[in-house]
Amino acid sequence: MNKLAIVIALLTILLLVGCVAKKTTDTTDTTTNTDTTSGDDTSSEETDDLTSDLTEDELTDVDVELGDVI
Amino acid sequence: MKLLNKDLKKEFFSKKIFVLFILLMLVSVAYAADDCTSNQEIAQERVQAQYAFYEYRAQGKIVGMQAVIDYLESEEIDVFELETINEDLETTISSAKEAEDKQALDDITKEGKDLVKNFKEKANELVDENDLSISKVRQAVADSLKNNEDIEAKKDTAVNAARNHASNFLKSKVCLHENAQGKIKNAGGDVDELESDLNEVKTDIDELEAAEQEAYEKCGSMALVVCSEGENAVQLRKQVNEKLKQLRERTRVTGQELAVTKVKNALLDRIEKSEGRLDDDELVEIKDDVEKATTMEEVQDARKELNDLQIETTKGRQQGRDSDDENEEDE
Repeated sequence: MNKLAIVIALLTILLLVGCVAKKTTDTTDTTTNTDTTSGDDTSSEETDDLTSDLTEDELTDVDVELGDVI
Repeated sequence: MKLLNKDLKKEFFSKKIFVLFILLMLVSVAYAADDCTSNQEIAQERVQAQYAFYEYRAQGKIVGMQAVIDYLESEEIDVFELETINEDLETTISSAKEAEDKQALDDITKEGKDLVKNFKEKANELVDENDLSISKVRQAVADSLKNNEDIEAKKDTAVNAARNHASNFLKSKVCLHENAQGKIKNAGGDVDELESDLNEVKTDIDELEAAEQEAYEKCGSMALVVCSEGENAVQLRKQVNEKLKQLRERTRVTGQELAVTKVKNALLDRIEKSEGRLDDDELVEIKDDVEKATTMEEVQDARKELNDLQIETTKGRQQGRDSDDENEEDE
């Protein structure tokens, strides 16, 4: 196998590792906490998470007015 | 011949790996495409766009102030105070570049505005005291800004930054709404109306982007909010913000209703499984509470009642067993 092939293979592995790591992070973020002590599997967090990204910020003007110099 | 064959094999193998790599790259790009630009990135982009505008506006004032200073100096008037204000305004540009958030930039903008106001007051005093023509000084300012390539370049940078920010902000909002609708749909919710409303917002966004482009071209160095040609863009921006706000609320309500239904169903399922194992009268009461619940708070109250009943029953049974053991030992 030539050097180029080795480099490409390594890059491919890195890419795969990156994708798996990202997927794991995303899954962890949305995992629900269930109360195992009481057998309670009715946590609302899973469904609360549906709209949590919709923040209340608005598109505002970035221009500034400083007035006249004379 | 053997060597040639080996080389061909090598080349074929390299090509295969290369194709595999490209395919994986495409998969990764498609995978990453699901992600919307984060709110943090958008906020950072906004700070950069506001800084670009501050630099453009302040630089224009510095050039104009210098024209006033030069004019008064040519009339042999002491301009020390004016020069100090001009230098102070220049310093604010460096501070603005370091600003990390909108509030910090707003504070610097206020400082800049005060400096320009002070300059104007002081310059007008000097013009009056020395019986100079204010229109001539104003003309000197206008001449200094005419065809000023540096200021024009800063304006282009600012306008492009503002348009990119507006475009990315709105794209991100649409993307976040699409994701939320997708999640609701996957969880079994009905999103037909939400999808239709989002499509309406998308049409408004296209209209807004066209109006902003036109306004920036027509308003020249004037800010859109104070330029009559920019009125349409400002109105459309308000409209888009309002529609996004309403859509956000409706999406939240839909999500919450779905959440309530899912938790209610899970609780009713638990109640059904607990029949015969827990106090039936209390279970009927809790079931009634669950069925009547319309908010997550009410559902959670019922859930707590069920958990408490389960814990009490378990404790009671344990105590009963302990008591039986003690009796057996006594016997």
